[in-house]
Amino acid sequence: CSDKFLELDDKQNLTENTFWTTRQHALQGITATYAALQGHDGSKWTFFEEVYITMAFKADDVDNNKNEPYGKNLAAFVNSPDESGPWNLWATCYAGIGRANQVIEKVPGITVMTEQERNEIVAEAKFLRAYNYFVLVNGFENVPLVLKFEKDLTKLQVAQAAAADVWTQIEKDLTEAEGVLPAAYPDTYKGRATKGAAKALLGKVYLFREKWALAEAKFMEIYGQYTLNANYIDNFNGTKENGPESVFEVQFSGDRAVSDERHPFNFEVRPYALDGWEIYYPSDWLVTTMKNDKTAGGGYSDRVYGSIFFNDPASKMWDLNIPATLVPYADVASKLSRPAFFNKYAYPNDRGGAYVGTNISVIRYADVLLMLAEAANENGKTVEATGFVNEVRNRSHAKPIAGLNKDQLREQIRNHERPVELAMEWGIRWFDLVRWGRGATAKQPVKALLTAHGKPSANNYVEDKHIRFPIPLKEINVNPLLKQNNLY
Amino acid sequence: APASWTLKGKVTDTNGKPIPGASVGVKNTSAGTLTGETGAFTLTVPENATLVISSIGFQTREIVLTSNKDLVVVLEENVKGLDEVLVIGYGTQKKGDVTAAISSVNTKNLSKQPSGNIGTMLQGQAAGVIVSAGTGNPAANPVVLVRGLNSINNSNPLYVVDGIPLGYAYDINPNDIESVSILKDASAATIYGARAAGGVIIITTKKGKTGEPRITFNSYVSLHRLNNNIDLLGKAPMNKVVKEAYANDGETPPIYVQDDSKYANSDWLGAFTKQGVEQKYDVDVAGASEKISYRLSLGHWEHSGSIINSGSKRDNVRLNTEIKLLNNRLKISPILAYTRFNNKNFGDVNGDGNAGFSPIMNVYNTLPHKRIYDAASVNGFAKPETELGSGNPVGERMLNNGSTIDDHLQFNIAADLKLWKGFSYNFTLGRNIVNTFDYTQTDPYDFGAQALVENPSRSESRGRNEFTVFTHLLNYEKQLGDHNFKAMYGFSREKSVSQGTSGAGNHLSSPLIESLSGLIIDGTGDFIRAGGWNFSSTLQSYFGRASYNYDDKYFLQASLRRDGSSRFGSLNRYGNFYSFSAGWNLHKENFFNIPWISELKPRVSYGTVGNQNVSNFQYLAKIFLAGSDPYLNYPFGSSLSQQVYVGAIAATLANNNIKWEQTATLNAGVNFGFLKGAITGSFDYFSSKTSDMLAETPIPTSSGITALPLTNIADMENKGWELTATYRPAPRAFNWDVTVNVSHSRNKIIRLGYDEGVIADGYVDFNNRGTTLTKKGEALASFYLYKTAGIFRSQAEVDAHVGKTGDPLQPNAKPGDLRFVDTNGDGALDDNDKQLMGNGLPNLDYGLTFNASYKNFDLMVFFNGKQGQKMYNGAKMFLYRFYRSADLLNAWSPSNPNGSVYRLSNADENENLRVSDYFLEDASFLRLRNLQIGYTLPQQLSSRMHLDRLRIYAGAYNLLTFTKYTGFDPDLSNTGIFSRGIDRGYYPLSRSFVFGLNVGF
Repeated sequence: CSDKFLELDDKQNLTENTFWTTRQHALQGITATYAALQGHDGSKWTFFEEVYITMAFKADDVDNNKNEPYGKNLAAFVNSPDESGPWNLWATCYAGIGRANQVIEKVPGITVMTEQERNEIVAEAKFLRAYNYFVLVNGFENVPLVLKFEKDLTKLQVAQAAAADVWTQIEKDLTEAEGVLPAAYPDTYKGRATKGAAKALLGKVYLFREKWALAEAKFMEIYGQYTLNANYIDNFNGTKENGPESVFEVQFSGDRAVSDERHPFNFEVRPYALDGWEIYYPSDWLVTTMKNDKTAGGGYSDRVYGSIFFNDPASKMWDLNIPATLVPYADVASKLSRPAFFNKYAYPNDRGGAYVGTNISVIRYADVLLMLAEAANENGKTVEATGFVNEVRNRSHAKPIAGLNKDQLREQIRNHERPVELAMEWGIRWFDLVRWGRGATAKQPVKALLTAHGKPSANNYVEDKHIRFPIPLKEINVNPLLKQNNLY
Repeated sequence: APASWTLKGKVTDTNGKPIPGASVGVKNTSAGTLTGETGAFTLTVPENATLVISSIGFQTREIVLTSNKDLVVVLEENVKGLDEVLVIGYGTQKKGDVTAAISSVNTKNLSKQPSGNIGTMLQGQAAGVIVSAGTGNPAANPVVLVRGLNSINNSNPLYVVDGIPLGYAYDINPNDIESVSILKDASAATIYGARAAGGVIIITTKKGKTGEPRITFNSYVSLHRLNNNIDLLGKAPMNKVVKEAYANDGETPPIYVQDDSKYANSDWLGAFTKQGVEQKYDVDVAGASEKISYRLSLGHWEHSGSIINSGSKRDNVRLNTEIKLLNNRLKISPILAYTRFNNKNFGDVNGDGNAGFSPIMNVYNTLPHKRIYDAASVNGFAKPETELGSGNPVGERMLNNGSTIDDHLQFNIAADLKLWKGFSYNFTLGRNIVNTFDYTQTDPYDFGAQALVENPSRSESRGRNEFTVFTHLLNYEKQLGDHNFKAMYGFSREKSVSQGTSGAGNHLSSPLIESLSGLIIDGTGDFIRAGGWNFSSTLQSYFGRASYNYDDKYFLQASLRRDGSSRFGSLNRYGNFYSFSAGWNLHKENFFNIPWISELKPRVSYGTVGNQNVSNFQYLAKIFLAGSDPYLNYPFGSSLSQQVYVGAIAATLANNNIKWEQTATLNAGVNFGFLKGAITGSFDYFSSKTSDMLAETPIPTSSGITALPLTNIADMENKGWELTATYRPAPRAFNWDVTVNVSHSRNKIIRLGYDEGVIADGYVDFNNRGTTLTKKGEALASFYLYKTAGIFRSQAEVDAHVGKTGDPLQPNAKPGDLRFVDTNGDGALDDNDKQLMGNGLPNLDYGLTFNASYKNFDLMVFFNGKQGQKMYNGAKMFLYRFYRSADLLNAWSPSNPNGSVYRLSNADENENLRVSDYFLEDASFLRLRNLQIGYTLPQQLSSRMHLDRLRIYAGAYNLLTFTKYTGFDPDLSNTGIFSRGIDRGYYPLSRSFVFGLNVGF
């Protein structure tokens, strides 16, 4: 009998042979590469309850709810390599890298679109690849450097690269990207990586490498090209998404017509008494530090009210169920389990009760200004640096600072300006601690800092161990070429 | 026409005891009857007729009628049962001729099991067939394994129902089943080649026999109660435990535990469960005339479940007919069967990988402080006080309605044509159409922010699976003196097509509308979505079998099968499978002269079978297009509710080289009969090697791919033995028999993909805490855990727990914490200290069935058990973590220094909750599964009621379980291959009391 009977077509999927042929395919490919920013499996739970927690819980600005299992061992510095959070972070970054590699390899071959369009899409992929490696090399330090989409199942095991090689590749990708990326996108495509985003990330890379001059120069290239939102809270309530202060954001959306791109972060920071789940708390140290951020009149600055919900007549949190209603702290004070909560991202959607489509900021202009200030200060330009810090302070009506010397300003930036302005924002504080702990400039060992800042379980912190995440056990199990990080 | 006359007679056994229910028929006609309670019968017979008299357990007799006197027929006990015909692959064989390992299930014992599911009924009924409940949900199916786990890919047996090969048989009404044969070794199963690696279960449905139409009615009702053996803390003791846990950490406990007088103290479990009622009604009419036989049956089964808003219903209709043509040379047998399932959706979390806990655990987890009902709320259920968190599992269960309603249609026609000189031809066309329908409708509710449904929503999906098979068989049979030949050649083609449509939306304009047409878009958060699927697969096969025996003493058999499957690329499309077997009727030899041995038949077989249970198109590199799946989509734009763009990318890797998985099995066995057949049975030893097992293979995620590709990853071996024995003493007034079956099997991985590769699974805590490891040289899914050495009873004990360098091994430990062992002695407590600690498969699986009758009473007692299986009590770990287990009252504390539970601590800095043998338990058990007492009305009484037969019975199911396991049930095991033996807290089993009757008209 004929074998024709056994030859069937896949009616549900395109194959590699039929894909990567049209302009639409190129756009779908880069869209999928961005989608990995939300988590390797597209699940917003993976992003907020695994990846975000992994990045946030070790730092001194956040406390975890010890009654919840999420990231509990990470926060207590008793985690073993089988903890799911670091694996999800690892898989999320590599999903983005694998997709970026496909775009970088395949899009140049799509002849039915203009060369400029092709180049721009490839540059976006390089930006995203660099971003993911930035997270990996800071988080895990020793990671495989994969720059090609490997299809041969027998060649998927790759050994770890030297961290310096990963950093070099990040700089290379960002340098190539910044030359090609457009300065802006039309309204319908806002949120894609711009030239400014590439420069800001490259500047941050230089900062992490303590290449102070290059960092200052790179940040100066975008200085003045963004503006701070007049209201601090507009960075977190969805009203100014991809707006004037936004450099790069992870996009989420409340529009469910195509698929569900909402997230539950607002629930996770809110207190039980206001319908939240209390997963993230501001640490006592953060609350104390915030309370030092005063206006000229002696009140708290806007960014204090925008960041935390605390015992103050002017502190209010949005009611989740009744849009446009603000609940004063005093109304719920007796029902609260902790004295303070995050107010940042605790905003309701435009419809009550539902999850939100609020974007999560990765780099915003205030961060750029503070990084610029830090670089300039290290370059000896302390007065100019103070000016950049005051630009950020002024927006929140915090009293300008003045007269600090280089060391004082460094300390001010490290342990006041950055945590107060950028508290618990995505991937910022923990990586700051890592770089100051590792750096050659005014080294600040992490354990000492955590101890000084009253981090619970700081005594469990082992200096050359917990500065890195463990290489996930799941990954080592299938890739014997990987070496576990020190002391895990 | 020959003159006919009325014959009266009686059938008895050799002791003169009447045999009721014996079949008395006229040879070569359809005329016939059954004997009554006194063994008497009346039958109109033609002149010179030959009577055929048969009854189960007795040798069939043929009597040529030479006079018209009343007849007394004495039947001899069927001591050997070797003339009994066994259904095998594509044919039948006399039991005495069998050289393979085949179990035939005693359907009489099956019929006494009060269950609607043939899988459940098989538990403990045949050696080597291991059945686990998996869940107590009546809508779910048990896991049936033949000879243990013999592949990491898929170990489910193939079911062949009336010649149609399928992956399941749960649509069959057990009351329609005539026989069940289980093909265990390769020599029996090779004939099903590609799909036989997990064994083959052949089910044949009942046909009409002889005589006038007879009506049978069977029914039972049983009342179920959950086997709930978990003690939960009430509100006040829970408050005490939580306060202690927080106090030990120096932290403030949650507000709600601080005042015992506040809040409710609800019995959530009581509200979530109910008394279940199971009912089954079967009626059939069967009969036969000279040229046609028929059986029409109707069945209804339903089980309300022991959990609110759960349950299952099934309706069956079946018409089996047989038409004889051309002087009986041509036999046409059409079968029509229809099954309707209606299962309420429940959603147990079972299987491998990242999984959470069963919905039942939500109930155990819910704070007793929450109120269940609130008459003032719209739907009658209470919204919890905000400080207690969201959720009302009882309300959510009741307001979330969904069912799966499937129609199974089987159409089967077989034609047998006797050709000439021993040749015959058989053609079978089978069609199985399954139309599936699934819906979920949720009413709006507000049980707090995390449990808020703003609008009524609805989703539906409909699918159609069409399976077509046709088979041509050419048979040859020849006898030359003492030489007997039999041969068969066959060709078959199968095609399966699955297509479907789904739709969903999150805003119905009114909860009273139960149709997708009521969906509206009334804001950016609303959606209406469509989906669908469309895939097919084909299989083309050539197969043959030849058997030979000399003088019924020496038996040889060989089989061959060549399968081509669309699931493999052109490189490896075909797989060849073969087997040989031989047997020797030693007891028939002249030199064999041991009087107490009536049968002794050694036999041996070797052969291969395959496994093609992989999904389609794995050899193609596919591009995944997200559609409505958020996986690859991403929004761009400038508003809060940006437009979402569709993404697409290669998200899986192709594997061009995947090929057939093969299992080669050596089987050596012996059939025996002792003491004139009072003891009969068989013993089998087997050793199998499965090569190139196909399974989803974990790959480094640094490849950018998280979907696992299929590869021929591994080899494993399986060894074991099975024993079945029946003791049936010579019949007396008190008549009894007992059957025991025992089996043992052990598997071992002998190759696993990459050199040091392992597969970790058995997650008990979402993505976290893998408990099993599969690696070379070890059994599949072995538990891989930290070893504990009790609880630190004092600070001195903590201080003494140091590694080789004198550094503390558990620097965060305090008195009361668990002591973990540095098993490799390297001075550090880490992942390398985990040890392999057995697995979730039993060492011994056994069943014992005892049947007895005295006068009009009959009794059946059925025990089954599993010995040497372990279970990771993840449910207990969960109940400890959420402070719900009553065990916690005995936690260690300075005032309770001998407490059996570790110190209460919310921060758990010692990681007492890490995966360890503290939560690993012996899950061996012995269960009194079925106890039934029946009473058959004396015939005078039933005749007066115009009945042929009336039997009533009462019994209990799952009445007693002897086990040390402290979880829900030692037999509720995870069904995942890599997660077997992980208890995530499933829908518990129930204990039931049964009342039923059997009526014949």
